[in-house]
Amino acid sequence: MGKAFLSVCLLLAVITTKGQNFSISGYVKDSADGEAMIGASVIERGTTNGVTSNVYGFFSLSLPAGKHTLVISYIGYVNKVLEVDLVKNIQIKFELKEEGKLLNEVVVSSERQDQNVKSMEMGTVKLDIKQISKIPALLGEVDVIRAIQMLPGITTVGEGASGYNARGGNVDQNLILLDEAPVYNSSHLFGFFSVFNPDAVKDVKLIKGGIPSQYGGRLSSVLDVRMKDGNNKKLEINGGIGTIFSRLSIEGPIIKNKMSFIIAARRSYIDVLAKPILKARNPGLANAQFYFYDLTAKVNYQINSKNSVFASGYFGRDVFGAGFGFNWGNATTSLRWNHIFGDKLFLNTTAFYSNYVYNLSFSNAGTSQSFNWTSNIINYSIKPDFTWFINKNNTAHFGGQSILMQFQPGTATVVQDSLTRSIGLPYKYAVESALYFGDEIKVTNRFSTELGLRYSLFDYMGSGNKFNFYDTVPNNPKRFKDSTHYNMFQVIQQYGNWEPRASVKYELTDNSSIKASYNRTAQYLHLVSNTAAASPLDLWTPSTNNIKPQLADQVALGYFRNFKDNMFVTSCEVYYKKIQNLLDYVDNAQLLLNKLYEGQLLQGVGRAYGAEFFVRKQRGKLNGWVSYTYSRTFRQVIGLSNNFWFPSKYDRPHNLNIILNYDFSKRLSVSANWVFISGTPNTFPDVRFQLQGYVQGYSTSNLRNNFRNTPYNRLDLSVTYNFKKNETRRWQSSIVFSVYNAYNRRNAFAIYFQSNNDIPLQTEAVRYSIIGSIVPGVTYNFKF
Amino acid sequence: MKMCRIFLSVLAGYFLVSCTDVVQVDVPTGATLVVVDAFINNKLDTQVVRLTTTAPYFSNAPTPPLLGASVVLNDLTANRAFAFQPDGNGNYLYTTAEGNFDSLARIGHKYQLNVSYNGTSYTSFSTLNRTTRVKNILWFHSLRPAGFSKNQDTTKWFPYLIANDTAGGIDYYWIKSFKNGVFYGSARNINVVQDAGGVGTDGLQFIPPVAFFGLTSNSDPLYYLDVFKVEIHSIDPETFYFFTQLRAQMLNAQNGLFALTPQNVKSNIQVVSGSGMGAIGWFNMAAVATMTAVAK
Repeated sequence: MGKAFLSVCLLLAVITTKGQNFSISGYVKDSADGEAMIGASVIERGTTNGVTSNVYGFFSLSLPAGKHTLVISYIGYVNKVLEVDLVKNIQIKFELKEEGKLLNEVVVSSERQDQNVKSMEMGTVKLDIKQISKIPALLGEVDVIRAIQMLPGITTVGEGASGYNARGGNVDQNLILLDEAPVYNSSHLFGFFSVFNPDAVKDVKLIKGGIPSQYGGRLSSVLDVRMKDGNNKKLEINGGIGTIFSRLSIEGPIIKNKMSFIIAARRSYIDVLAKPILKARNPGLANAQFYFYDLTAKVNYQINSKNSVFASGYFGRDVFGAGFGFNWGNATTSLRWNHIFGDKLFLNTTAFYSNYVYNLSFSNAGTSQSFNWTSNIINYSIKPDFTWFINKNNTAHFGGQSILMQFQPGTATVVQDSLTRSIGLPYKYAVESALYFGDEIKVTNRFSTELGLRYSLFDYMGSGNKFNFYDTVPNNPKRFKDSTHYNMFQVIQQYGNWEPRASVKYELTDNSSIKASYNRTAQYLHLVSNTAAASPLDLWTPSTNNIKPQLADQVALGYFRNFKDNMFVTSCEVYYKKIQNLLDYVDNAQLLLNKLYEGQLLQGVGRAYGAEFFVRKQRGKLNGWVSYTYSRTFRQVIGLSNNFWFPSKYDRPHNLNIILNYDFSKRLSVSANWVFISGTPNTFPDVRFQLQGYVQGYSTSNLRNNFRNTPYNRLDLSVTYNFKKNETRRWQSSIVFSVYNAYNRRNAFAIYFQSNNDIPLQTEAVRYSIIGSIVPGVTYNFKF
Repeated sequence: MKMCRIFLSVLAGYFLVSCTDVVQVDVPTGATLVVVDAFINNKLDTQVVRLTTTAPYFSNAPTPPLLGASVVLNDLTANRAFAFQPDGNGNYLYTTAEGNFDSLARIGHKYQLNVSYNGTSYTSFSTLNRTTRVKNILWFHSLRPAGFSKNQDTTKWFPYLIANDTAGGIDYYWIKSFKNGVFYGSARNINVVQDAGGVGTDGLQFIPPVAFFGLTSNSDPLYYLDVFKVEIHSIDPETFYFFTQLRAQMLNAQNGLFALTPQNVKSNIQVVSGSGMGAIGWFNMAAVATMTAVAK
């Protein structure tokens, strides 16, 4: 299918290069380190003709023959102005300089840095690592996912929970990509830190609405994380020594301006620091080990002006143990090839491998018994993606993707004396394929549309067994009926879905626009998790004959306006989302090591709606953002909550985030962030009963999530001091002091009801707080 | 696996100064329900069905007994009926006559429990399954401080149960343990197992945690000459899931970050007729294997 596409495109590319227009194409890069700049705008001065560079920094703009003045701009960088006389197609490389790095130069920017208003994107926030690093962070450690959690429309079930919930979607509905390879568990230490090493991250883009057609496979959002290519001008070492872990990264040219690499590593040492505390609290945990590490590496080679290749990899592990142990982690590798056909057709082909694995083992020293369990999900994929800069008013995206997935839901061996038994579950296989096309058309100077269509096809295949179940009373496990064996690559169940995507934008004035979008998304993979926060032990399952794919339809409408020469960027968006076949669980579901787990699942419908308000001050000594979201999310699952609609566990109506940063000088800056979020919903018992001496609560209404935990609020502060740079040496360093939960609030993760340990007849409500005190942190960062 | 979640959350907790504290919560009291507590076994001891009602969640006293009900157990296989007599305190008793060695409970038979109160009838069914036998009880004890002998110090003794799952078929057991006659009644000691330790362990020797950690507790160990008794009750799969759910819900607070959605434990008591109070509770018929050992 890729070939057919390719031929058509080549043909079209050839046809369209003929005509009166010429194209100017090339790359936009950072002058300091040669990093490709994503989303830089290339505009003909005084007109609305323009394009933005793609994720590889490439752009192509078609203009009539003759003289033109181009302005290349990127936020925080000095604009570049170029006079060209187009008599043929030309290729060029632009290098932009960061504003702050020019000491005495005063830059008056006449061009607007107005992506917010001018681009087609809505429901989208782009953060670069420089902005993320200004947010006061837990223990002083900059973190991508925790920064994402402060954006409008994003909630979590609570502090420490892994992942995030985008516009009322579940945590498994986020497509998290690291250099185009999916990351199945984005967290280290549960949800306290993410797997992305900030030293290796260049750019982070979160799309929660108006998802373009090139993305698919998840319902609610795309988190597209791009790694740095590595400084191709000079060797650079970055590092940090923090309270909880240390980081080190090395990047530099292999062939100057052509080939560069980056290697970044992190290792935590809390296990060493926490040992005395653990030992004091529980001697059984004296030998506990818990740490994580990760390694991120990338190399790129620009073969010539038409071809570049990239190889990137990530490997990380969390290791926990005390008598028994477990560890989990992701490994991803992606190989990419960029090729430019003619001057207008850009191809990126990605091949990736991704493996998420967790292992659990237990051995009993006193006896000859042991237990070992491994579960994983492996993906192999190829994805050709074309960007075709047809003319100045028309840019198309098309391509395809095919992913082969292998699931190992759990293989376990039990050893007893000389007896070894395998009690594992068989592998499951699936292929998810998609073809997509999207076209961004500037209809008039003010009105643009982006129309896209994606067709996704999912095959749940052998070898494996197809299980059939009897219908059952809702909220009871389905009773097993029979199973049929299927051979390798024999299709057990197939699903196909058309996924239309559409956005429109109308510019009301030069600094305001309205945008609307609709998208349908389909999801064939599901995270089977019935706990408050997703745990690393949760199982990923493909859609099967018993589990239908999840589908979502979202409409959104937004008003975007910039003020004061784009110093203030504001937006207001409303959305409504409907989800079909979302997953839920029968009460007391037995999900682990249960080959009939499909019989424990329920599927229902969901709806989510909300209004998001966002104000960001992009420049000046005082900068930062304020975001407020009012949102609701509900679900209806036959068998649960008397079949009524009930709030999802991440339904948190009010969500306010204020992030402020003040730069006192080049050396000293102070940041603060305050969050206020409604409490999570909870199910409270309204009576108690006694049985066999056990005292337990019972909800006579049988309604789920009919109460709410107390609201969450927290203030964090941080101070960053950059040490004076010795002009003769390259060494630069800074120190960050941070205070998390500055006013020492015990925020409830949840309120649990239990009978008192010592007096079983006494029942009580217990507030469980993940962070019950002020958490100070200090990190020393260096660079040379 | 539940243990792993608790472990995960404990680690998460220790790492980041998590804390729990008791808070005041206003919860309106729900409807009053009849609670049927009917675990009957094939021992010749007096068999008890306890009837109570639910009470406000924070009432902090024993729930009120239900007086004036009638309780009859029917052996549907043998077509026998046994009337349970009230003791005036919510317990309804059946005592096998002196010299009669024929228990009301027979392996393989199907039973129906009928309860009626104030014109409303409640019923439930259970089949009595086979159990296994206890082969032995081994003892592990903690290290003694120098100069102390095992019979005079505070050495903690922990029993290890040696028993095999009955081979063939899937069996479910509820292992009850007692120290000097007192039942280990904490939720952590709700010790139920499928075969010898889960799927694929048919016919094996019971493995920990059921064979060891589930029997006693570190905070309430046995000491020299204490008497330990273990009972292996056969249960049906529904009762197994009832206990796993009860245990999970009672210990849910300790799962912290990975707590389950709070849910009502299931009940196998149905209202047959009448418009009186609704009912919850559990009925199970069990065969029991037992062994007693002294810590020495």
